[in-house]
Amino acid sequence: MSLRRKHRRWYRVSRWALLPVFIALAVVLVQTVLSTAPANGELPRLVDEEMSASGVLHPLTAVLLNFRGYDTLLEIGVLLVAVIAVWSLDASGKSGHLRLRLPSPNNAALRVDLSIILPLMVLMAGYMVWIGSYRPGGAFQSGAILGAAAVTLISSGMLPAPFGRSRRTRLALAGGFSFFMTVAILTVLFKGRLLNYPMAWAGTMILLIETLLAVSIGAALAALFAGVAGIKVDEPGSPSRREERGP
Amino acid sequence: MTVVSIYGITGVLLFVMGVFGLMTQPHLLKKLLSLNIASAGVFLLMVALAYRGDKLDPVPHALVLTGIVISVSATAYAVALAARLQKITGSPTLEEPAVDEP
Repeated sequence: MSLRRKHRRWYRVSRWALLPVFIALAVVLVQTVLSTAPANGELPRLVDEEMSASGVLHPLTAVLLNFRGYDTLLEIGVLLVAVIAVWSLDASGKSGHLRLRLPSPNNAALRVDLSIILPLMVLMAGYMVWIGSYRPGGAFQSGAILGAAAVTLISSGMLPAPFGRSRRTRLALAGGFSFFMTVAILTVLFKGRLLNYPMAWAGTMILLIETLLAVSIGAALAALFAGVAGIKVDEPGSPSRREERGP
Repeated sequence: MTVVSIYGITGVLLFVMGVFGLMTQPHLLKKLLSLNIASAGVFLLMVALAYRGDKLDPVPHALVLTGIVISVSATAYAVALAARLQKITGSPTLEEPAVDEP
């Protein structure tokens, strides 16, 4: 039997063959959740005890940027690698992968809406970074808002289609990781331990890192979107336009 | 029924549904969606488990926040790969190209 036919047969049969297996798995897992013992780990207590040394007041931010800072460092690295990987699959940077087609950006209502929404989104992103030190918020939430703002701009045709390959975007993409990495190396050199900030500077360091991270995360999310979607904007006078208007 | 078990069970069911879809859907985009449903289930379970003690455990929450960003970037890369595969083979599945047929 050829591989092709095996492939088709698997997908014809698998749904029914696997259904009982997965139902059983669901039952077992639900029982496991129901019978989990109350937490008795050391971590919440440790976080609590060390909070005063973290430089921030919110435990989540303290864990992300201080106690487990290396997670965040690797994460922004992964984000950067993902952007590079998506770009390298489409070396020209012009075609994109999916070729989304959008209406022309010359739309007055769209422009007015964006001119109100986008400044608010940037303001909100800045506020998110700031508030992260004592309430839920921080670089990721802020980066997500910045990314959404950039995606809005791209998909309304206001940013050039091969977004992200200019020097400025590359700088925004790599800025967060480079700065965070520099800090990590410096802390290893001077304090002997990775991301062990001097206590007096911890708060300032975290805010600075988070600001750069937010910009990088926003830029990376937007670059991933643009790289995958490959936006194509209908210019006035392009073939499809002329067809619409008729003779 | 506590908050932990409601969210935990929802998370577990999402996970099982996602893995089931991953294994039974031939279309790569559906596989990716299934994978994301499964990972959403895992995240939900982890967030729920952080509420078990008398105090909220911030470490699983931090891990989930990191995980979400990783899964977004992995998904974007996978979509790009799938789109490229379709461009080359003309098929959105992992099926062998038709030339293999005897």
